[in-house]
Amino acid sequence: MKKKLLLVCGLVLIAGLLFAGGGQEEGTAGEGLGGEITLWYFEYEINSQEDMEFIANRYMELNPDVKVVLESPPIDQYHDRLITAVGAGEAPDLAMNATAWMTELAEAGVIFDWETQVPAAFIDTFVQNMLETGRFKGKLYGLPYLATSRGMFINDTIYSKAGVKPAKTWEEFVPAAKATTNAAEEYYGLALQGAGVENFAAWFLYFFWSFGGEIFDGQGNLTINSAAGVKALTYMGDLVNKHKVTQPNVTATDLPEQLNLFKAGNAGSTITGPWLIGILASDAPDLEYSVVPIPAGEQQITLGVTDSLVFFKDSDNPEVAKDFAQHFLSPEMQTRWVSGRGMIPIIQESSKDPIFTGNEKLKVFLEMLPSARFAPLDPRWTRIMEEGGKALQSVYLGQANPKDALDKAVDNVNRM
Amino acid sequence: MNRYFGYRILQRIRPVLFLLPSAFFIFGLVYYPVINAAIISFFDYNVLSREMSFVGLKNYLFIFNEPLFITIFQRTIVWTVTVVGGTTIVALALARLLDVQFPMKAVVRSIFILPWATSLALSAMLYRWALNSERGLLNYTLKEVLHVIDQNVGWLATGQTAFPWLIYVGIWVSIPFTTLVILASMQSVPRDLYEACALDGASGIQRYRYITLPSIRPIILITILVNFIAVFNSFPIIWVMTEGGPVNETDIMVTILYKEAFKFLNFGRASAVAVLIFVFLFIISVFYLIMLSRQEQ
Repeated sequence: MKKKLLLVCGLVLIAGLLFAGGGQEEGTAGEGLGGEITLWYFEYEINSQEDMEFIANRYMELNPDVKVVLESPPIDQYHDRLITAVGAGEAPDLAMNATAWMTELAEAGVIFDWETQVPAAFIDTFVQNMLETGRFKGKLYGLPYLATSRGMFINDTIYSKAGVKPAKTWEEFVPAAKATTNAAEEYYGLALQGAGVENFAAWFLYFFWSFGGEIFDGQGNLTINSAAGVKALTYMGDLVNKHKVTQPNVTATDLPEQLNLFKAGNAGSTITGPWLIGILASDAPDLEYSVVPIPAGEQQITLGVTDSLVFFKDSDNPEVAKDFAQHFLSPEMQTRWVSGRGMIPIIQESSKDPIFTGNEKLKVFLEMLPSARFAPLDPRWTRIMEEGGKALQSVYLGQANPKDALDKAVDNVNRM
Repeated sequence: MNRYFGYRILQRIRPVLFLLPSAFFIFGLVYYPVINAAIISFFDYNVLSREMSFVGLKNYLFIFNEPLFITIFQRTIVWTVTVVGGTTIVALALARLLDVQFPMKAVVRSIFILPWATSLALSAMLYRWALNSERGLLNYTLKEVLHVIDQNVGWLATGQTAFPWLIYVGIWVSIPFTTLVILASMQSVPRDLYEACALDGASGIQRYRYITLPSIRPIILITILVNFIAVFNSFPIIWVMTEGGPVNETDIMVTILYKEAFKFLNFGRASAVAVLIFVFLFIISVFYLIMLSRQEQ
């Protein structure tokens, strides 16, 4: 009896193992759209889940035979998990992507050129110069769905107490930052991010580009160690070590901590994107602040960043994926999605919506966007950010001078 | 006759049949990935396009000639030896403490178990917040409560201050398991040995030194080896608290392996690092076990 019971259990277990496991349902052919697609989306600084579910549910109401599965890996793991999923053959149908990450997917040939997948009339609904940020080697691998530029947030209370005005140039900035620094009362002229991705990918570029620097020369050689690069890093290092106008422990300050410093009134100024407007509205509504353009060096610049939607060739349900992408990027959905994130839309009709144009604080970012510069789409960019970030940190820690640090970074990128 | 012969065959191969599922899982989850990694280490491998191009020993030669990897290997040894050494010393003391009867011993024992019940990543996250320079509990306590500092200390801002804290957290999370294993071994030492010693006039320290330690020595040595392997490969604490920074100053072999694989998509080089870790730990383990068995003889 026992042996028979064991045998039955064993057969049930084996049967379970054989028939276990998931797998996407086959898309239903025939009339209308049907089947399942998966979208990976970013969890931005301002909560994204509610809006994303609204957009997906609206689509499913219009297409009852379709199921949209939403997944949102934590932002600091998103890239690594996407790479793992693609490598394992488990890529989603659609995924939001930092536009800079697109190059590695494009070079691997795992994502579609959108211009071969969606109507030209749909492509024309985008703000065209922003759309070009999704183009790599002539193909539109990413559909940018939102943009940010960067501006300087000023704590009006600290500035009026010090009796100074926001600086228009980097030369004016040092005395203004000194006047708005009081270590005893724990506020500093500038909240500077010294850790994390934007350490190099944003902060260095604010200074480097404004001093006339170019990341690559005409032959594609990395030139962050040019005279402009050394000037930029010398200026940044002096802010930390010579003038002491930044918070201490810069190399432990990542983006959330940088924003926390400004929110808590510990910084006279900081440079970041429009998402801080929404964060301050909910977390620090009494903080009096204004937004001004980033101070100029030889040039007035701002950093532009777009996030893009990519479409994987492994998609089991490409027709639904394409259709959903057009739904997500429709004016109504984009107005809700982008305004909820506190960012700037790339769909033309959305960008004219009063929710954006009527926002006084957002206006500065909108006005700066046409002259924004974007990080290059280069497969080496991840390595450049890593080595460049280390160069900045070594200067902040007093371990190296700017020239040696940047030379080492360039050498490491070329070697590794 | 045939049925009897078949029965005899079944009897002989039955142990093998019972072992097959375990062997399947061990091969699939352990040996197959190791063999796969070893193969990939001789290629440039694009994980996205799954294209491979043979490069021979290029990845290994790069690692052996790159000062950064040499430094990181040395740091990994320091990390492992200090965490394992610190854990063993503290665990021995705690096990001794828990071996005696005292009021609320069960409560104290539960408190010691707590770090083990918490995931490594969560523990690391808690310490990361506690060590936050602007809003962390440690700086608040030192500055606002005890007034021993007047400026916030960036505990995770430099390698010199971050690395000791990482070691501390490594010891903190390793103590419960090691303590419990040593305690169990202590409690299995026959009590009549202690009684006989006490009758001969041996003091408590003498009993610990001449009875307890020799009796639990094999267990201590095994826990050292197990901890060495686990700590050498420990990823969550360092990744969550510092991601190996600043300036690679808290990177160990597994964190640089992770960066090469998932940030820079250099799976060939990452696989070479993984193979070197495996070979190093294998050699250490074999050498250690040989030494152990010789000493016991």
